[in-house]
Amino acid sequence: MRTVAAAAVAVVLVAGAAVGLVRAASGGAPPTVAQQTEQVAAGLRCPTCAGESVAASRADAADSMRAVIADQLRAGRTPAQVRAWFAQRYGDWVLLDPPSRGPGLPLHLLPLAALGIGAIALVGATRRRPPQAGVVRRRRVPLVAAAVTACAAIAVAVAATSGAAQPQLSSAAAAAPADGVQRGRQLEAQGRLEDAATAYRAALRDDPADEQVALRLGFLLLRTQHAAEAVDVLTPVVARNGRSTQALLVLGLAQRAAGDPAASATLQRFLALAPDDPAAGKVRSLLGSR
Amino acid sequence: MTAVPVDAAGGRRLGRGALGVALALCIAAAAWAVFSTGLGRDPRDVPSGLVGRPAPALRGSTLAGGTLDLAALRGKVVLVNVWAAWCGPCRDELPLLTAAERALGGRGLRVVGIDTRDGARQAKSLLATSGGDPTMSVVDPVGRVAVDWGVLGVPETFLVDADGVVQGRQVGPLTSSWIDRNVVPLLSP
Repeated sequence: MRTVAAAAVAVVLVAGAAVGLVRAASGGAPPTVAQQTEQVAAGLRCPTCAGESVAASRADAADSMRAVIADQLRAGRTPAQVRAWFAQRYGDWVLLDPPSRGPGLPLHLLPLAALGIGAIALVGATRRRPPQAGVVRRRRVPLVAAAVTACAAIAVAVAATSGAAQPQLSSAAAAAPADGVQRGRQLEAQGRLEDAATAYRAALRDDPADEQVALRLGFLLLRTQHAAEAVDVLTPVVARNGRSTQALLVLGLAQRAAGDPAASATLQRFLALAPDDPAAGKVRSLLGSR
Repeated sequence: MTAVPVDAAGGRRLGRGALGVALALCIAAAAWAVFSTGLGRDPRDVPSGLVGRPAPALRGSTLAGGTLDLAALRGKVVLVNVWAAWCGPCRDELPLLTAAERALGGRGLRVVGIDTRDGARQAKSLLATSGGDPTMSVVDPVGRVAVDWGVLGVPETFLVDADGVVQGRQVGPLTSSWIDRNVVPLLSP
């Protein structure tokens, strides 16, 4: 009875593993360039933060690498060719999965060797039972076989699905906020205003809709006598959110500094929305003096 | 069915125990060897895939507005310096590069910049104050050129010989001893 039960368990496990493999392998529609880019990027090491993949990293260098991956895929190269191109430029170091040659070969052989040693040990352990345990031995062989099959099935299923799971993980990481704002604030605190502006610009390029970054950059540009660029940065913010008093204030001041005649209208809108703002008195006197 | 002699079973157990200890020692020794060599290495000491190969194409508009093609400098020894105005070590390194070009230009050395992910205005004002040549720096606003060269970070410098083959790479700021050791032997006397 137990033999039959063990065999049934083994059959169910193998069937489950096969179904899982088929589902993992049949992806349905062919992958888009964005999906393929994500997939290739997930297998490349970010040069700036060496522990991260290019897909997960928000570093500038990883950004550029993703752009190059997408370019090459659009130009008709296969993911394998793109990976080979990066390995040629950066060395094998850039591949998160070490190639199965040279120093990387033992890493690929080690699991197989471990499996082999385990199998030999298992066979030895079951064979060397004292003869009087013959009845038990007959029962154990199918159990052992079922266990080995189950382990192999799980290993194969995990190996097959881990490739598919990786891009999902990394796209979750991609939604994390950029660190450019943090870097910009630090630089600003150190008085390195030009560098801070560069950091904010990079952060804004990552997420053009980020109002806080645009505000910080706009205010910084206004303070560093780059009023015209501040107007360019803040105009879309005000166009998107006409009730952002801070954006109106900085835009109005920038327009004024740049000699834009729209300045007084923008500042009037600011005063209408925020008559009690700490800056309102200053703005009134500015408008009155004109 | 005869029982297995006790001492034979004991001997087998002893043999297996010794085998296990030996295996554990082997694994420990291997781990020690890997970590003792690996942890002492500089993480930035990554061999470039480019050294010994023809340099990637470098053609583009410069900070001065013209165009520059590295291929046109065949016959010269070229230091291709990847830099940006926002990078402190790059700023510190600039005087050394301009001095090297001034001293060794007559023997065939040229310095070409890749101004990567930088604001053109900041880059130009930095070159103006440090005596750098804006006609010799290609702009790389989105970093594609830097990826093309397998750049790990800024500053990074590639040494391209007169035949257009990459002969060396330095990650991090250059030193005058690096130039003496690597660049000077390639120059004409």
